[in-house]
Amino acid sequence: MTEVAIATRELGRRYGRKWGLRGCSLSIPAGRVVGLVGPNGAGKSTLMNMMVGLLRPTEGELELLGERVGPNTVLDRVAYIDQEHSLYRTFKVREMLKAGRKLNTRWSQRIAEDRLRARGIPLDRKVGELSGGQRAQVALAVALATTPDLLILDEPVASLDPLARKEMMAALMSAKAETGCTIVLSSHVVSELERLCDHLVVLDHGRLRLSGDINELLNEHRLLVGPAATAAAVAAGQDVVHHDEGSLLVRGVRPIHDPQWRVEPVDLETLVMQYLSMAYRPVRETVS
Amino acid sequence: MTWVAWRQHRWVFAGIAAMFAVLSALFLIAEASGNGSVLTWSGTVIGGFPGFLRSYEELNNGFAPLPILVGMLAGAPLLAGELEHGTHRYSWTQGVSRNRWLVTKTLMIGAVVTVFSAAYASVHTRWYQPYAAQGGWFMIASQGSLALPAACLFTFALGTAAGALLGRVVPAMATVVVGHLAVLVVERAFVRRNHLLGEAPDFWTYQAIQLGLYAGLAACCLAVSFLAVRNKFS
Repeated sequence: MTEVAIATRELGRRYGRKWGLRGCSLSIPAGRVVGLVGPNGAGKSTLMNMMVGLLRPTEGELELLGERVGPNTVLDRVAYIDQEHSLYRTFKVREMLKAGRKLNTRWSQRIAEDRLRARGIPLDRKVGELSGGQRAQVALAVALATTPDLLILDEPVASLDPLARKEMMAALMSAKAETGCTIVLSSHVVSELERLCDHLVVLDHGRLRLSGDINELLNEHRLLVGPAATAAAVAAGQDVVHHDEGSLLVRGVRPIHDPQWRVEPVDLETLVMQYLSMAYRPVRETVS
Repeated sequence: MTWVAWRQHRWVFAGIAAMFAVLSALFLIAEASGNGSVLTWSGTVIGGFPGFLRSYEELNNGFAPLPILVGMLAGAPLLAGELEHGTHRYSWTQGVSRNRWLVTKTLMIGAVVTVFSAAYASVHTRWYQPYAAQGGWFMIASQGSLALPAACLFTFALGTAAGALLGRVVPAMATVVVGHLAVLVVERAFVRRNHLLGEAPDFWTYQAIQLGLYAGLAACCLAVSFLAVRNKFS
């Protein structure tokens, strides 16, 4: 995996006087499934919209699959599904496939039809008459049929009920297994992404908080738990990410000589929460 | 891309074609049955087909509603419909470039608008010919074979541009009504008045003047639409 799927340098986008995203520098290898997390307004959609050419960066650089994003460049190798799984509501599913074929140079009718058949979605039904879950599946089938090298999904399950959520996540797992393309999906719920993703990007208030391989991040970080009275002394010898009551999140733990303190592994959700609650500090990135 | 544009806007194509086809048929019937002398009488209230023709001509001479219908039906929803439903997020992230996408759509709809409005205008002009000596050619100046298609193209382009800038169908439709009437008032108050007061007022010269005016405005609106699609949403 030498190819870089997503590379940004000091990427920023301003809306009027407010920055939606600023100073974002990322490098993500191809073939990853990237979870983009952060609260609402963190800059997730802004970053994704810039990737697919729906927003122009105010500053900085953005390269996908080794090419600068722009008209007639890399975008025919990128597929995108927005939060509402927008498709033409008056089209039948079959017509949506035909539209996909007409609008894209790379198109596999077989991929789309196989996926829809496997999920029992009738091709003669109008898109507007489908359930939310079915529409999400059609949007995914149409996106995958363009045989993308990079698939970008903005909050793909946020609008779905629990069952449809589960089905959509399963469909994404199978897409990951079948295609090997780089997938980026955003969510504000970490647990949704945990099973699917192997790379994590945390955004907050338009700033990049954390980016790295999930296993490496979990290996590097430890939670130190002990009495508050000695917390300052223990913290002094550590690279502390976040200081909570009775616990310290540290990166690259060093030996502790205080027996009242114990070292615990950290789970992904805690890790993200701690990074989101810390005051802003410059980006920390693991070199993959 | 042509198939997608056709499939997305087939009711627009059908609506424009039907509107002008029905009106054309009406005036072919009027021509065949000799209905039209009604235009020369004064005062008397009459009903039926002749009455309808008279009201219709007065309406068109008054504020030229046909281009308004075209702008509201074909122009306003073209971009605003996509933006309102969020489907531009699908349309603009496919392999076809945004520019080509808009070129295809405006060419196809623009062609249908031009062809059908021009066909209707020529049928209508032929029907009016016997009465022109009494009523005067300027009675149908806004429905002439050059002026009407150009005005329809303008309202189509105006609706498209307003839709791109406002992002909503209904406000874009309102812009078509207001914009069309504003241009009509200014055009009649200055351009037509100056022409009629000039040396030799001529119907076809005036048609050419209207063609130039409306085609120029249409080109400006289309340019705004393309710029808006390229810049505003990126």
